[in-house]
Formats: sequence, structure tokens, C-alpha cells
Amino acid sequence: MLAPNFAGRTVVIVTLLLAGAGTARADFKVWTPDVSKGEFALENVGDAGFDSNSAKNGERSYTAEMEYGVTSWWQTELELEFERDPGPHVGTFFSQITSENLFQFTQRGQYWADFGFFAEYGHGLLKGDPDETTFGPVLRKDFWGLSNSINLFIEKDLGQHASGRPQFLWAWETRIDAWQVKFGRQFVVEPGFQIYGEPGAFGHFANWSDQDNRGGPQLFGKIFDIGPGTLEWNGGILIGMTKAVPVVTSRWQLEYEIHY
Amino acid sequence: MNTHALMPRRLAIAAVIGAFGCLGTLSPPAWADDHTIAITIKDHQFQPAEVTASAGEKLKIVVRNQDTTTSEFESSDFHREKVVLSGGEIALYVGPLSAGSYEFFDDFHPETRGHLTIK
Repeated sequence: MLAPNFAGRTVVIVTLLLAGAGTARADFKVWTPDVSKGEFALENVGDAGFDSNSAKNGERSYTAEMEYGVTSWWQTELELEFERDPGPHVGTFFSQITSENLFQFTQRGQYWADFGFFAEYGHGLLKGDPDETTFGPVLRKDFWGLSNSINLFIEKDLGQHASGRPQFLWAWETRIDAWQVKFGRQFVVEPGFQIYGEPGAFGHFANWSDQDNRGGPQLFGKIFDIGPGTLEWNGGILIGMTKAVPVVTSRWQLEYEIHY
Repeated sequence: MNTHALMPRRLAIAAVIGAFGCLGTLSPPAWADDHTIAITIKDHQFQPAEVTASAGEKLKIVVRNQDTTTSEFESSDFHREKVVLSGGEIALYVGPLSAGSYEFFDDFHPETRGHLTIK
């Protein structure tokens, strides 16, 4: 018979990795320049797009990830990505395997801002899909009770099916630390917002109405001492700012840090 | 090339980057000499568990783990967390903080708790 703690950990791990397994896209996740040597966590990031226009409705994406802090400045994650494109009669596919890497250059609060760098390589699994690499700086500045992070990324297709020009991606997150609420020792939550932008290829940005720009309110929280670890979560809605994207997108990120 | 069409896009990119950069100038300047606070984790206790500092000081908190198990030094009050491996040491930079009591704890062993009092 399995020891209770092993069975409990197994249930938590399987549940987290399969959370929302089903359909497509999205990397609606803002990176912060934080690495902790020895930290081991499981993560699920997902989104669902909704629109009365059937051609833009039904976008889904989910990831199942494992992350580990290899050194005090390098964290690596292995990501499995599932996606469903918007529109009717569209299936869900296991679309990409990605190696994500975060590098922390400065300690939080040591200098006037916090600096890091992100780099990933993704292998496309679907016929006709290219491989891709995405990289760029990860920055954060805390002031006035606000924690503000920005990612400025370049995405480039690679391999036989590569599209050509590198794309510019950016994301912004503000957390209102000053409005944090604690519920006993176990629960903490604070509000904020996120904005994501994909203007297009460098030197050939799309017209505003054709860009993928979304933003909206989010909640950020933690549940301490849940099973053999701590659950850090955030989620909310993103309002489509252009005609090219769904009117509303729900997004979430669940990170379960395992205590060992 | 239509430079007029490109200008709004270039300005938009510059605005995003410049806004973030300018936000840094609005924050209070860093202090030249950090006050260092040393905390040891031993027998699942912080030693010392109660530490004090002055309001307006920038603090460097050095945490050493003398236990045989892994710990995670964390505080929701001053927004820091870092795993501290057995036999290891981490450094965190905090503040300047305003007067008050800020709790910290070991996320791997939640009963292990302490307070940073800012006067």
C-alpha cells in the first residue's frame, strides 16, 4: 500500500498537470526576474477566448510544465503545449514541446530595478508548424506599493516551415501590493492587471485593428501549506482591444511549488 | 518607405520602453550603506526570530540554513521568497520600509515564523 504522503503528492501532481487539458494557444504569462535555486514546481497556464463571431470564438490553450531552479541565477522549465485555434469544428492538439529558461541578473530590490532574461526553444509537433525561439529582457520595478514587470520579447520561427521575419511580443503586469489581503496564515490575494501585445514583425507592424492586443484585471494569490506544497495562482480576464482577437479571454496560471 | 506610417509605431515602442524606464526615476534613491541582518535557521527556528531596523533603511537580510532539511524564507508582508538549501545561504534586499511589523516564515515549515519590526 502506498504511503499516504506519496499518494497525496501523486494526486496533486496529476490533477495540476491535467487541469484544463483540452485546447490551444496562448502564452498569457508575465515573467518576473526571480530564480530560486532548488525550487521545484509544476505549472499550468491556460486561456479560453470568447466571441459572438464564431470565427473568433473557441480559442483555447493549456500548458503542463515542470520547473526547477538549477542555480541561484538559472531556472529551467519543460513545457508541453496544447492548443485549439478559434472557429467551429476545430480540434485540440498537442502542438509543441518547449524548453523555457529564465536568468536572474540582480537580486530583487538591490538596485533601482530588477533585471533578468528569458530564452526558450520550442519544437513544433504539428505538420507544417515551425520550431521557434523566443527571447528578451525581463524587468521589474517596485514603487508606491506597486510591483511592475515588463517583458520585451523577440519571437523567431526556425526550420523548414519558418515564416521569416522576427516578431515583437510584449507584456506588462502591475500588482497592487499595497492592497494585499491576508486571510489567516494560509491565504493571501492582491489585485492587479496585465496587458499583452503582438504588434507583428519588426519593421512591418500590422495595422492596429489587426494586432493581437489584450488587457484586463487580474487577481494574484497564494495558498500556503496545501498538500505537500504551496499553490501560487493568478487569473482574470483580458479584454480584446482590436478586431483581430476575441472580445473576452479568460486566462489563468497555477504554479504548485513542491516542498521536499 | 512611408516614414509617416512608421512614426506612430516607433513612438509606441519607444513609449512602452521609455515609460518603464521613467518609472524608475520616480522611486526613492537607493541608500549607500545597507543595514545587514543575519538570520539562522536551526532546529526549524529562526535565530533571532525578532529583528528590528529603522524606517527608511535599505536592508540586506542574510539567511543561513543550518538544518538538514530545505527551507524557504518568505514574507507576504515585504514580498520576498527564496529557497534556502540545507547548509546554504541566501541574501535578500528589502526596503526602505515604513514603520510597522512585518512577518516572515519558512514556507516549507509553516510553524517557523519571525517578525521584522521597523521603528
